[in-house]
Amino acid sequence: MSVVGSFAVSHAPGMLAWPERAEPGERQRLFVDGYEQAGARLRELSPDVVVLVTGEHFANFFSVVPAFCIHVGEHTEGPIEPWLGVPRRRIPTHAALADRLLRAALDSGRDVAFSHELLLDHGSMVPLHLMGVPAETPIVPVIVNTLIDPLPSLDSCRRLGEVLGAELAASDLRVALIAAGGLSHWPGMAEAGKMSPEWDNAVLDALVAGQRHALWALPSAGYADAGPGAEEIRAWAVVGAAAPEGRADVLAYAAVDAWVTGCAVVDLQGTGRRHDQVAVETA
Amino acid sequence: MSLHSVERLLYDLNRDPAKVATFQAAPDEVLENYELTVEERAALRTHDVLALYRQGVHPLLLAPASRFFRIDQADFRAALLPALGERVR
Repeated sequence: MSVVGSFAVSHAPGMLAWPERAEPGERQRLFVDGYEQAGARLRELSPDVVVLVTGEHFANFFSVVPAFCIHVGEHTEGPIEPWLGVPRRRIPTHAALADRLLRAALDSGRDVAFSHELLLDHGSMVPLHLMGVPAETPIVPVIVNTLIDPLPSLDSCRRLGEVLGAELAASDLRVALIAAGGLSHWPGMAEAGKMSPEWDNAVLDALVAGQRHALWALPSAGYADAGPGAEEIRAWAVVGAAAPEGRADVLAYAAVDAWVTGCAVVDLQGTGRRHDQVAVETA
Repeated sequence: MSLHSVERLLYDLNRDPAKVATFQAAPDEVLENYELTVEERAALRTHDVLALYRQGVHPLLLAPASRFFRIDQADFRAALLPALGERVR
């Protein structure tokens, strides 16, 4: 068992670019109860490498749009957005593990793309920064097309995740998985600002109940009730299939107007608790 | 294919500050390098984000491009309000 920890989190850019616009209670829940707690759990696990699965936002895909792309280069950089509020830096990668995962995927009929030149945007930098992933810990970036229609199916995400999970389980490395994206939001659209706590909570409750399969049983396209940003749940579907089975802990959830996103921080290998609701009840 | 040309232009502006400067000073010098319909060209020249949105431009290319049109975030969202419910994605 070399997957020592698995997390699924939101990556709204406003969390880094304009954190002050959120309410103090929202910041407490997401930053302190959520990302800091998840980061503490991750660092406690002393991972050798972090496999980071996130959605695309026109950072890398345009001329060619792969369904999935694994970064196999010797390092990467991010964030590409100068306005994000964190300095651009070089980020170490684990090219040997990336190559191993790529070959395992191809050998299993999961024809993922690869690149030596992927760059990271807020989709990766939000979790790396807010969880305090140590700067020296190498990562393996995996980018999913959650953006440009047509998208890979959720079942395809599951199939890729299962292969990655099997390969990681057979490695000697201590690996932490992070999925980044979602939950409900309508980025850049006329509906921007709309969120769906009902949809978000249904996903979170299923994970807490150990029903990981709910991720790839979701409607496969056009989440009219959760917005196109919810398509980023594909990152969760990949990691959900790669991680050991178990019940999740929801460390934080809030639908935050200032960040126009239903934001969650989840430890997929928890004990089946919604810490966010406990906090509300005792507040 | 023309919609892709609009999206290519916005994608390029997002990556090329020199092109943004030219676009703001003399837009035709930039626009003439892209295969655009009359309607697309007009919408780009007049910074008509609602028209571009209704033409199907990807929201995550259009939203960042609004700053090249000198439209702030609040005005961008207000401009799109007539299109509420028109697009699924």
